[in-house]
Amino acid sequence: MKLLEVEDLSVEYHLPQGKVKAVDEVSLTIDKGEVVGVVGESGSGKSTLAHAVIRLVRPPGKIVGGRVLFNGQDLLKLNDEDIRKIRGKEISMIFQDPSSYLNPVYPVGFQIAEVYEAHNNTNMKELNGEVVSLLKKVRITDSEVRVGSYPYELSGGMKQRILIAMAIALKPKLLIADEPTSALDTTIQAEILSLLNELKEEYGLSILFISHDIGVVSKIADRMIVMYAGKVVEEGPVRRIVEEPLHPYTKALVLATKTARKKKLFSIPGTPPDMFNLPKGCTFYPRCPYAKETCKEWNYKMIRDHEGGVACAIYENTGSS
Amino acid sequence: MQFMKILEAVNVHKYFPLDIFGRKKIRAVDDVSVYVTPSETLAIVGESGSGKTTLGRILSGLIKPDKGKILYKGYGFNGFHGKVQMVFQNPDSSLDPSWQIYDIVSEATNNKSLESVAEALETVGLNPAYVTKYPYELSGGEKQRVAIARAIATEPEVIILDEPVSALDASIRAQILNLLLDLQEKKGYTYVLIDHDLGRVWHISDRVVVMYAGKVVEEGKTEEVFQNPKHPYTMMLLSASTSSIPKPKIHVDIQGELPSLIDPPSGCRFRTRCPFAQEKCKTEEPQLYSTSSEHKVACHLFEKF
Ligand SMILES: Nc1ncnc2c1ncn2[C@@H]1O[C@H](COP(=O)(O)OP(=O)(O)OP(=O)(O)O)[C@@H](O)[C@H]1O
Ligand SMILES: Nc1ncnc2c1ncn2[C@@H]1O[C@H](COP(=O)(O)OP(=O)(O)OP(=O)(O)O)[C@@H](O)[C@H]1O
Ligand code: SF4
Ligand SMILES: [Mg+2]
Ligand SMILES: [Mg+2]
Repeated sequence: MKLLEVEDLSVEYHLPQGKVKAVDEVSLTIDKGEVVGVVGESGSGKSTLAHAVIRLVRPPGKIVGGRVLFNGQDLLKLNDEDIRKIRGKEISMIFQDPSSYLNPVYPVGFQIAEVYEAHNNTNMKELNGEVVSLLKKVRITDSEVRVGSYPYELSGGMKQRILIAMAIALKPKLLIADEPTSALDTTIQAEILSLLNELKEEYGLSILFISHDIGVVSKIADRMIVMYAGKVVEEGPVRRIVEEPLHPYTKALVLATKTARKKKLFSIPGTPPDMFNLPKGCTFYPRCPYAKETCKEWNYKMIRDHEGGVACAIYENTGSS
Repeated sequence: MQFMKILEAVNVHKYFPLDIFGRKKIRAVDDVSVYVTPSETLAIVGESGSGKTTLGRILSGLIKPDKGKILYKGYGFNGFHGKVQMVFQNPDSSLDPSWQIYDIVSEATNNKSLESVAEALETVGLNPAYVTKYPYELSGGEKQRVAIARAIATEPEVIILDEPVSALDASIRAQILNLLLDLQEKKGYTYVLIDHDLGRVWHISDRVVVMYAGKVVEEGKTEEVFQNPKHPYTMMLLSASTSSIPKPKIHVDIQGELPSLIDPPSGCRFRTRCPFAQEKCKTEEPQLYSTSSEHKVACHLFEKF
């Protein structure tokens, strides 16, 4: 049995201007001890997907379909109390924007200790040592003093590391990490990635790792999914995707990471899709250099092989190798 | 050689007291001098918590240094209101959640027409229909683009960009960086770019300043510093990068204890992690030595590297 199986999960935001299908029938699986990366354009629904997996989508957002099986149990069917027991303890999350998830009026050490208390009823005072050593693990110096710091007294990358500390505190089975290292310099980032790798080795932590940085994803993930306009357009082993991307959007994404000094960077032509008004057919069609007339009418379909798959009309008849 | 400096920090210090008596202090920025010349891009890189944002806030006039001074075109602080804009690391704390995007972008500008706001949004790759949205309705990347649109709408001279594209995907990121380069060419903007991604710094900056624990440890032309790093911390940073940048001649592995900012290590602050550290590094603080006219490094052993 897979640790996590997401099947045809859909999330919509209902706004006065219309409806946004932010996550559209997304399916993915994660094994015990596996790290699955999620990459994709800004606004393609990665964070919404992450929130939906632990049922943290807030109005005007709504999960409108699908299943989220965790150890075979459908999280979408649990009552509020049961899901709360799973959150933080079995599944934890590092949010993309640390500032909005840290309470500005409490010291960060207190907020980490609360995570323990909520699930273990441990004495707060005894926890101090535990919290200090957790801060050391995420490479925060002067940790004995920093437990008393308020969020505004910490740098961007330090706040991000506080969220990482909270998320790993209870040794969850599944960690959902939304851009967890986006504010860290290369050395601290490398240390955090090796910390996560250690936890994976130590007790089989599984991670859903969302990042814009394909370089970072390829350092930690085993498999990767690529999202565009709420849909998965490609999935497969990280190496294969980085070295031989199939979907035209993935190809463009990989190309856009190549840098040369003071040269124009490659960027995907056109504007991101209007989520209120997605084009018919393949949603990437208006920006795709390989588009054919038939793409306008093409119905989304994942063309699979043993390793993964791609959702693009070009591969429809040839079949992906 | 004589440079025209548009914005300059001279020996600035910023210590944050940890208690009301101020006995313990975090030395966030500890005697730092930097400058930018017109129409150049100065990158500031360094460890998380090393004082980059604090230095950016000092340069933009948002906070006053405890010691030292800021000069805009050679004059003191009061002269440069509006001419130096900062784009913040975290767009959430800088975008008022109760304002529509139109109000946010047009706030500081004189031209408040809908067309000009729509144009600013389009320049950063956002759909002009977003004028009626609220920040909480946008994804992380979309919010950051609004913040950039707001800064460029005021037509400033110097823009301090604190991790401006870290929250963006590769393609939008490329679009924004291209846009920044374009604007620089057309309007002569000067940028101070705080960014931890060395690939980006390599790509876009003219000069680079490397910070470690509140101090500048190396500075110089980007090409020179990347291809011929003289400080072991710079070597460590470059060695750990996943971007396509030149590999440093001397590979330095990550090791050692991170320094305290309250009670920093004696002598060289990097010595607790430096594979080359010697007795002298413990007893004597290295000065910023010049290795060539613009390349400076704060390491006792710089001549060896
Ligand atoms: N609270 C909300 N209300 C309305 N629309 C929202 C809300 N949150 C997200 N959206 C919309 O849903 C879509 C997906 O957003 P999401 O935050 O999941 O994207 P993302 O892939 O995480 O982007 P990024 O990489 O920029 O963080 C976007 O079009 C966004 O504007
Ligand atoms: N308002 C404040 N009160 C107290 N301490 C502060 C305050 N602002 C910053 N600091 C401290 O100053 C130091 C430098 O912080 P700064 O935000 O400048 O770092 P940074 O280099 O930008 O890091 P990052 O890359 O993680 O954003 C940190 O130790 C931080 O905790
Ligand atoms: S001064 Fe000494 S400890 Fe500091 S970087 Fe140089 S060799 Fe290393
Ligand atoms: Mg997101
Ligand atoms: Mg910062």
